[in-house]
Amino acid sequence: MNPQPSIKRSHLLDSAPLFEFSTLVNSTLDLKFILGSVLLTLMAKLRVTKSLVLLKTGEGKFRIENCKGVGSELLRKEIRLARPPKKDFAVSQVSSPAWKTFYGAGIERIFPIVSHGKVLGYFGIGGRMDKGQVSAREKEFVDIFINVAASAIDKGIAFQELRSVNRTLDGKIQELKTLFELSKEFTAVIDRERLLKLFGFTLMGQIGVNRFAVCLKDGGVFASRLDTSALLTFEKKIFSLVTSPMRVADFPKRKSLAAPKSACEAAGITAIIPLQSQNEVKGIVCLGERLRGGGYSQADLEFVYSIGNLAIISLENSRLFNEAIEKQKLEDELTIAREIQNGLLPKSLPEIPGFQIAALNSPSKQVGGDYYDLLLTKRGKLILAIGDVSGKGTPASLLMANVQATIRALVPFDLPLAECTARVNDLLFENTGANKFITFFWGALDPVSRSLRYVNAGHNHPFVLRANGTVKRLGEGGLLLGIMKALAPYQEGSVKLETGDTLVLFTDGVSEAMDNEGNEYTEERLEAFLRTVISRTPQEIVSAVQEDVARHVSGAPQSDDITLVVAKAV
Amino acid sequence: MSNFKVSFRENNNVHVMDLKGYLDAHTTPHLEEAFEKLIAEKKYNILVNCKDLSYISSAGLGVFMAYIEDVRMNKGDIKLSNMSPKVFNIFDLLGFPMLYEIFKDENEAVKKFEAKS
Repeated sequence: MNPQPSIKRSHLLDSAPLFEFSTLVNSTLDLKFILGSVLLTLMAKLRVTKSLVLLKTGEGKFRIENCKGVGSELLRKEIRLARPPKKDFAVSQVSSPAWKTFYGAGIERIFPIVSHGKVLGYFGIGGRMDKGQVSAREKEFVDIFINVAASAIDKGIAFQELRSVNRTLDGKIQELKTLFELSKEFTAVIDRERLLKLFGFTLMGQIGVNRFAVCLKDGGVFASRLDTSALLTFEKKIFSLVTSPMRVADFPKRKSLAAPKSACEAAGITAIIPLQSQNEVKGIVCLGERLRGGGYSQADLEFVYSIGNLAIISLENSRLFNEAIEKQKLEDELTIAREIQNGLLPKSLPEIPGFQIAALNSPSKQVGGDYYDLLLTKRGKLILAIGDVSGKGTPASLLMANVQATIRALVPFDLPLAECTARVNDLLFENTGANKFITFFWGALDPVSRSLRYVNAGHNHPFVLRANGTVKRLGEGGLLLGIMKALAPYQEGSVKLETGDTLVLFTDGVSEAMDNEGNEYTEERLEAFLRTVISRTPQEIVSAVQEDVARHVSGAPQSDDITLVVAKAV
Repeated sequence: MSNFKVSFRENNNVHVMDLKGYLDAHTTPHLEEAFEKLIAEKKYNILVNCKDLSYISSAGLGVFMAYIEDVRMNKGDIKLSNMSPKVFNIFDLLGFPMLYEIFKDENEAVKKFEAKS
């Protein structure tokens, strides 16, 4: 008669599972779990075989978050609704194409999920086992049920958003940590390889890519599983194009960029990030596909840009540092060369009756291979030697040491000079090879007869300035030393030194000393100058010549060693 | 003194690397050497036990990326185990669980290697 009691009874019957459901979904903040529970409970209660739930992802945008009994291809599918309905409806009664897909999948009825007046999403159900309509009582249950679910879903969404914000923050913190750590480490590392490796590891770890290449403007390429050779044929174009991080897909559509773009695509390069220092692109980083797939976000590219710019500054510093070290090495080597050369020159000048002697060796910055020696033989003769070794620096110094050792070893045998010269030549030729040679002059001065026997092996002809004003040049001899085995014997020359006569040995460092315009001092000027100072002592003559050469070059850097030996008969 | 250490041992034909300490940009070369050593010895079934790993930075993670392809090309794998929640969080944040199998316990990982071979 009155249906009221039975409804009440059924309400009571319904309220127990409803309460149970409410406890369940409110006990968790796990949105996935909540949605799953809601669908299962709905399906059981309404005896339907298909259900799904959509949640709002943006203005007018909804995405299928979970579905049961319908094809899984619907999962994560997004639909757009211009005016999201706020009331439940039968899918068959609407014409919107978005809903039509659902109808095709067997979803018949849609219920909105509303919390605080806002539509959070929709439940869809279909495939009722008894093919019947949803009764008023069931409808009432569903309304209450969805209300309970809505508040749990609302909380679940809020929690998920919070978690996602937190994760984004964690990600940012991780990026900052990495940047901080790198900037600290980069300043401590000066080895270029190590720097690039560290940059690579950080890139791989942070971005999840194992195909990349760093291409520097100076030509250096540091690559991991990426071939940039084709791209680098367009180096200029790429370096001027990429002034900020750029995906290859976003290259401007210009005809001139078609070739570089396809070079990138062929090599699997998907993004290029410039390495900038002082507003100049000093290199690029090319990224290949991510190992786990998926493109790079703008944030990823910005991050690579940041660590790249840190790296390039360190690389620049490392380059400058290495240059400084190289320079230092070179200077150290020159110091060694200078020390060798210095050690070879006689520490004190031997004394010989009837003659005054002076000598000078002024090495240039590069240390040329000048050499002179003065030694007395057992029979009391004075050996005067001067030479100029080809080349500069340590190699020249070592060769010079060789010459000195050979000569000092041969002098005690008291062989004729010409024969000795041939032996020195042959020894040097065997030990050095034809590209090394020495211009060499030496003489044996007999203090008793006052005669000088000499051999000139390709050296600048020494002067004998006579007290009577005439000048003799000493040219007898033969080929310079060390270029070939002595075929023809060396010739010996002889000259007598009377009181007041002066012998001047010199190297081309004197005659070829250049001023800033490239004008040489010349042997003519040397001779003319010597004439003006001939009455002075050997020491004074040496100093005067040195000063006159300095006047000539007037501040130009000394390009070669200057060596002078002066002996005067008194 | 470096505050990061790698030691090697075997567990049922799986080459286990025990990482200890702080793995950052500065100590990364040690891990790099460790991988180079195993790969040079053609040991491709590699399990990295992170029980005593207190921190890992992006550069440290990068080392795993550098070798994974070579190892897998040789039919091996790099698996990880025994991470502290803090260390796992960094792996997770940078998406590594999608690329590497990470186990709670070393023996689980060893079993997985065995199951494959």
